[in-house]
Amino acid sequence: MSAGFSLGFLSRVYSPSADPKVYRDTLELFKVAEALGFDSGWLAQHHFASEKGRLPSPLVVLAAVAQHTRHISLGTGIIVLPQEAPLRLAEDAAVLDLLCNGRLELGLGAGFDPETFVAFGREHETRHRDYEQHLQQLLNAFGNAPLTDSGSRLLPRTSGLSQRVWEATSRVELVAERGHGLIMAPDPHLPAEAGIERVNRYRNAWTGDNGTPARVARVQALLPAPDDATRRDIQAYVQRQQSIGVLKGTLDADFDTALKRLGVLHGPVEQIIEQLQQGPPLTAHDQLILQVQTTSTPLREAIRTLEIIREHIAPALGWQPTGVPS
Amino acid sequence: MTFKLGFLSHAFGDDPQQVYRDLIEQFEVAEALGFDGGWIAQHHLSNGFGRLPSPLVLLAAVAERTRHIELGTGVIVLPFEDPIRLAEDASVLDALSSGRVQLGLGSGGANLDNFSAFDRDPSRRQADFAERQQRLQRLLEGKPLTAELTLQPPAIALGERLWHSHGSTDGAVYTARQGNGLLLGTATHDPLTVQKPLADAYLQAWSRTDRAPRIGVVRAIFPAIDRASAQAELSVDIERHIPRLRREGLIDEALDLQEHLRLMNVHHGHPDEVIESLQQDPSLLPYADYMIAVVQAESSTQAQILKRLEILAQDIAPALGWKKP
Repeated sequence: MSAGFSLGFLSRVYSPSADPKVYRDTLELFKVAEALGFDSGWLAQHHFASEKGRLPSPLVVLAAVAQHTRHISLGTGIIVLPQEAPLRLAEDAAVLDLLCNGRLELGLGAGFDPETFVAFGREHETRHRDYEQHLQQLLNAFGNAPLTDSGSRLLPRTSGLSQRVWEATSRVELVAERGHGLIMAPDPHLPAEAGIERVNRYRNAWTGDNGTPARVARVQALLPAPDDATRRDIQAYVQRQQSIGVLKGTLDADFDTALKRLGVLHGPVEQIIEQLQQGPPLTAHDQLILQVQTTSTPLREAIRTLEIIREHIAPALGWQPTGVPS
Repeated sequence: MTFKLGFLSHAFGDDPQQVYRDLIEQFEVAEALGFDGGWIAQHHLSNGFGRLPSPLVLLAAVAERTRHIELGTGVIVLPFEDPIRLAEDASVLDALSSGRVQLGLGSGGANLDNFSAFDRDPSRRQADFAERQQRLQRLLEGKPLTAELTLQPPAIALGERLWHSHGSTDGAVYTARQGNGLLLGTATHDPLTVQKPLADAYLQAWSRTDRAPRIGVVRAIFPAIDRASAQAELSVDIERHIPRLRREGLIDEALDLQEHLRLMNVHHGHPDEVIESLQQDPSLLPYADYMIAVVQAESSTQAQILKRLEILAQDIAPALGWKKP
């Protein structure tokens, strides 16, 4: 745990094509981030390359990452829980957690893309109910509960993994009651203050019953100098979110205003720092997780952004790297 | 006829974390010895046998530590899997490993106690297997799931690296009709009276012209300095299996160790004895495109496992016609 807060990056494993190089690039990004002193790296799950996110299996790739890194936390941001068989997910997470010496941070969400629910043979409308059911089964398995009449339990047993579960949902009181971390991303339908209010509700509802502190992961995109390619990526993203009904209404035609509403940090470093200071305050148990890529961002540019964050942005917010191995 | 050489691990051991480290090392050593592939069994929950429910996650770690060796599952219990999630995981692993995945599938006949935990009905396992295997195969072939969605990342070549494990001639014939490889050889299937007829039925039913049939034969192979040492290393573990042999009707009462080893088809002894015994195995060399050696019993040490892999690659397999790649 770093002083100030934990610093992480999020990759949605975007790529214009299904070239396997995107997975090698992702491994490279983890290696670079660890060397820079980042505390965590998070991978999003996308099925059927929705949004051009190329990774349906974050736990598989994180098992590969674990072989190349030693300290950085390995997060899922997020796994679409209603589309998972919960006991299989529990098994995979438990195995990965042993492979990486307890570095897994398991981020879960209910998903939103209606067409992927059709493909999985699940109802989009009941996804929140399915989420709750699957979460209970997952936690049962993590908690070493008997799973068959003869009393068989999850194997391998987990050690502390149930205290490294995160949820991305607006129902923050439930997350607090369960003692899980809260993943917060900007909501373009709400004013920026709504995020602060949500975090407050979460902290107020925290019981601490499981012996862990309340923890918030603030996830945001950060693109220091968006160029024409970035602009096209974001326009395509917006159109897709509108077409599946996730983004309502139209965005401002002015690109700068549109980025603001999407919560994409951009522009000069001082401006980015200022925007970050306006969000919910981060304590030692919280994470700031920055997404530095759109669909066509080359690896070297993503690495450059991580370097800027490391050198100029995170320290200005009070982050300090823990002892980084050479 | 030559064959590929592989090993199969059931991931035995008390401490799962150590078991996984040892497994990764076994792959590294096997690759250096020239093995063509390593295969890992999937075992669920605490009542089982092995310690690894997630072979694809572990193989992703192995992929980063090796370059050439094939990464096999022997087998994944298909009725417990969502075919989409399995196809996705296998496809990502195949991309990570540059096409090294060999995907062995089974119906879970050895896991009947665990079906309830996965909300499956053990009596429907064959139907579940066929339904899921066909779905998996269509996904890998790139067939659409809905009007617009297909498996991503695509893994068309992986569709030609599927294997089935079956215990009946119907199953063997079905495997051939699906164009997939056949895995033979659990400890309780007699090589002459059970496995050979399965292999013959499979080859007879094969009708595809775009690819050749392929048979993987799993064999317990425990070479040592001499027969007595091999038996000493195995005795504790063989006794452990006696209740199961009785339950499955293979023996009426405990016999002597020699007889148990024979019934369980364990090839053991000095390398020359092992070579001779493998040559006489009626469903091995005449059929095997892939010889997959089990060299680990429950109480085997890592040093014993690595030594057996070495003897296998250096002394035994070459004498049987294996060519180191």
